[in-house]
Amino acid sequence: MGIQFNRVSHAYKGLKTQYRALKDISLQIEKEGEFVAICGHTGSGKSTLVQHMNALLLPTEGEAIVFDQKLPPKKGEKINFLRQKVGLVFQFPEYQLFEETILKDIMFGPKNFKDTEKEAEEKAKRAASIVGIDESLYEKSPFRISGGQMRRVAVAGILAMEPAILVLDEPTRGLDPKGRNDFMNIFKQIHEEQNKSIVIITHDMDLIAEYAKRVIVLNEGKVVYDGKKEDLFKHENFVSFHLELPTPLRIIKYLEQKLNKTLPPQYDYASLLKQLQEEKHE
Amino acid sequence: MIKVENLSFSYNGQEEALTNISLNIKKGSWVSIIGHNGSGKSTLAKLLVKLLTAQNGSIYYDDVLLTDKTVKDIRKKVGIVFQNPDNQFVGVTVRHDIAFGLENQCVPTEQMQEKVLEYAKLVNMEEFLAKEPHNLSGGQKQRVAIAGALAMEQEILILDEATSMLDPEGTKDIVALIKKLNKEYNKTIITITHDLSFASMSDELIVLKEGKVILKGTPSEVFESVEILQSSNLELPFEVKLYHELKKDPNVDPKIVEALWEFNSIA
Repeated sequence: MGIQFNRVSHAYKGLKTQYRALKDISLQIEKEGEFVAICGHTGSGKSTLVQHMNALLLPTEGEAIVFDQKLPPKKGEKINFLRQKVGLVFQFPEYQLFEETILKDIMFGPKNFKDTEKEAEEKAKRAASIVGIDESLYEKSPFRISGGQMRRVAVAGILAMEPAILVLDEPTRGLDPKGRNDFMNIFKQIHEEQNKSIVIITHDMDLIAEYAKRVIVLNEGKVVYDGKKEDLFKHENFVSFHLELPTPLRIIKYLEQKLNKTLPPQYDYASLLKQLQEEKHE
Repeated sequence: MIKVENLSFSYNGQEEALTNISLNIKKGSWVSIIGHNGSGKSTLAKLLVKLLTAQNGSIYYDDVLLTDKTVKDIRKKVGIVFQNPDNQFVGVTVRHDIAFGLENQCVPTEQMQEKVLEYAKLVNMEEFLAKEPHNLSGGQKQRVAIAGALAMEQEILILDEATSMLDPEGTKDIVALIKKLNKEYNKTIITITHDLSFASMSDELIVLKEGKVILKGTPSEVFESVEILQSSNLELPFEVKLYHELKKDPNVDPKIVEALWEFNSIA
């Protein structure tokens, strides 16, 4: 088991107030083979939830078990290793770049986990090639490349630690359509080639439809849906989740009305195109 | 009316970021300038308000040439809101932030308070006047930034990637606001974006690629040029792309093509 939450709640404490951002959450994420999307309104607790996955935040009630480590930990237990096991990429990760050169920045993570210079460099180079950062850029400053490339470098910094599970908080936000597709395909490739579990927060229903296998929907700190993506979109309470249908399903719904027949659901552009091209030859 | 003639610009003698740009923007219209990352769209926005100065070419506002001498008066007509609202907050509270521009113009306090309230209401943020800007959501922040620009009561508003940081709900809010400003308040709106679904709601599109204008026209005219858009690293909205792809295939049921066209026109 990779990640398990047993009735986890989290309250942010102010001086006199406290705000319960997560309420009684139970779920599990296998360490292999999952592609999970987490969605929900702004303020629904998505970012709070994923920060529990590598113990950046600890449950204030309930218990999480991440790679056999119980959280919150017992006194004196070290939980640093979880940051390597579960690689967490924040929103706008490019704001966290700091090193002099791109390669050094990517090496920072593995070096922190006691890799030798040589090992760290090898891992960094592998990670750079996965995200498409060319060798010619290694010695450049990470502040002298485009925003899209900076984000690639930041993601490579996490990949270089070779985490077992990759967790990404809105990794495509603010990117142009090409950048968005490039990144999603990188994650898909990691998922397919290394069978790693990917957890991704996104608002983009079209991305969820195309890439995710499983969806967790949060609302006001509670899990209101956890299951297959296909079942989410035909869920009888779908309207109550305040989500939009992805574009291919909206198109199918409209066509079904207009043509007065039922069409099978499609989740991405290529399959919908194919479906509609073949529609006549039945 | 804004007229741009043969505008060229390069940063410190590097390769030209913009080459020979000419365009007209009519009063009261909503125009979107679109292009991939690095196509020169933000550079163009900065040139329009003279945050940058072009090496060649000219910009006219109602036939007045934009120069060092006229820039002060012209900026009274043009407001600009940049991409990331986080980088432009100056006030401790929403109220102070919206008032910032007015304070700089030495508007009397009473009048200033009225205006702040008026524009906070217009962007639906009047409940948040006492809040700290940093505690707001992305869409709310963007609306506060727009209110700050609106309070200056300029006729032209430039929005640089106003929706790229927002979630779908935030984007909807901004689109509704832009439509209102354009239709009811008769503002000329210039939006700079790489989001073609967002741009498709404007009256006119200007497509930039590598610093040059490669297409101009209404959204439906521009969307006809599928290949050119795709070669510019721009992606047509899913449903528009699907429509064009099916339309050119003679074997596809024409009823489907027709229904898709309808779908696009109501979307």
